[in-house]
Amino acid sequence: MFTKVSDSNNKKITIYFEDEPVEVEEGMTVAAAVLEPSHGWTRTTHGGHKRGAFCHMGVCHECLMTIDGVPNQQACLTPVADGMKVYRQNGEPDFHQEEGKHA
Amino acid sequence: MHNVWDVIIVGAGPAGMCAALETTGHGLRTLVLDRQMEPGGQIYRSVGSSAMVDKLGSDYAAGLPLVKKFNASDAQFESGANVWDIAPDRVYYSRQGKSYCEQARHVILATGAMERPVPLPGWTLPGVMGSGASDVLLKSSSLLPEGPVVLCGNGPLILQAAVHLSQFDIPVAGVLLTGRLGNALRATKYALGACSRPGYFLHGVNLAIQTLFKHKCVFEAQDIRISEKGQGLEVLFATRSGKKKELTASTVLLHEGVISESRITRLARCRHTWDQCQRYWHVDADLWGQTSVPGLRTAGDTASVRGAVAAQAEGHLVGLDVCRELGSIPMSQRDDEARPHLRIIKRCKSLQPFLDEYFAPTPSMLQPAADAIVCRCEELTAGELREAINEGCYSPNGLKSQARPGMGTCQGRVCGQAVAEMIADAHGIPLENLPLYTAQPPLFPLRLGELVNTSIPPDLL
Repeated sequence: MFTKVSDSNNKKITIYFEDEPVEVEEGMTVAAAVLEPSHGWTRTTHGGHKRGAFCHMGVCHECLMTIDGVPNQQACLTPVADGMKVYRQNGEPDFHQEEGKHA
Repeated sequence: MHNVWDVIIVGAGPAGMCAALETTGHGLRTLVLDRQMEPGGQIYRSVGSSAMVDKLGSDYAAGLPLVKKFNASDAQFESGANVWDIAPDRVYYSRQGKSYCEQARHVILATGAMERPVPLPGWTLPGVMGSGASDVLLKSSSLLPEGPVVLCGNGPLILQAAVHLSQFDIPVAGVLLTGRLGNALRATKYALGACSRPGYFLHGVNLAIQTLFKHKCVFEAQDIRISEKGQGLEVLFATRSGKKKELTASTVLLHEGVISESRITRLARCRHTWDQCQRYWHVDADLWGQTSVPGLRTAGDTASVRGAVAAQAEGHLVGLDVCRELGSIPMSQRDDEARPHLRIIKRCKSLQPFLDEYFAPTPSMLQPAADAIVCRCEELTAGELREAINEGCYSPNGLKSQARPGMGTCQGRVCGQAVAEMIADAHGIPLENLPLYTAQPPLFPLRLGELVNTSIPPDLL
């Protein structure tokens, strides 16, 4: 749904989205990096509806994801890091599983 | 005694960077905080590292020398810093899961603006986003929607987005312009002022011409609703004459103008002013950025939306006056150095009424259809909220406690303005008589552990 129109000189690193490896450029935000593999949706609401980042600048909080075991992270404000584990946040965040598996 | 900065600047956009150039240039110890990883703000987003610098025109490239100057200055820049509480002498912020408190003799808020959120049925679907979001993705990650794209809205930035898309040969199914044609007529009385910045004005005219010639444009589009269709999206709308039409898209970009981000200045209990034409609250500040709260200043779009050129000049003025107040330059030097910036502001101020009037928001767009989700966090529709409003809710705070809009993680940033518009309309109250939701700390949801472990200076306890 989004396509890259130019490559920067930034280093390529690997993050894991829903356990699948994704090669991305350093310096991207998590929300931008997972646009393609996530089909544009980053979380579901408590009503079970799919949502994706709306503003990409930290206002709307629609990009809340579980990043490296921590739920409720604004993916559009979080830079990617090598080996980072990113999961969609489904419904309410599950803080009990924070240190272990994703929600 | 805790380390005290001379100045803390919140926001490293054009205004924040220019303020920092003045304060550091005159020897003041300056800390600059920004949520993004690089200086530039949204308008010059990632300009220091973007692969798009040469491709997005001179407006964007103009940010590069400024960012370079800022990076070379003595300002200490903290990236990824999310400010969650402020006072005239201190700033609390969160960075990588830890919170900090820094003290300063002066605080300058240059947090900029945001796109006006205007709820439509289907605007919560993945694939629908603000046109500003698409702009951010292009600048910072060289990403563009594959298309077909439907653009929908009102304002110079929607034209800019349309031109960017055609520049990269992204198919555009249509541009639905939601502004009223009558605005153009009303704006003509400010046309003389628009000529004070002829280059900028002609640039805008050029964007409009390119959009009209290259894309299918619909004027005065109304009753817009977006729904899922197969793998993509369908945009239904009515033309000016009421004829129903539809367009198919993979991405829909919405834009209904830009408003000051006033949560941080409302949190500080600064006095605010209502902009009747563009319909938003902005902090009341004088020429030197001084708000009604001593020691707290603002610059750039936070104070009033006038764009990057004005924001830079305002940043310089605020920076200079802080230097004067803290004794690093005399009044006469401030006045001398302020002169060129004052001239720029004067020209920007002459142009602004034309833009404001021409792109004035359309009142019917601000009253969402019953099935449109207004509060995205709590999934509350306009219909549900109107029920509570009609039962006897006369303020956004009242509605918040009765029906929960604004109680989610975005804390009312998105629905606040829309809710006020709905209450004003339902009860016939002038909007300027309705306060927005009360802004409270923390400005962002924080983890409890972070809050507990924040080091609060002992003299503040």
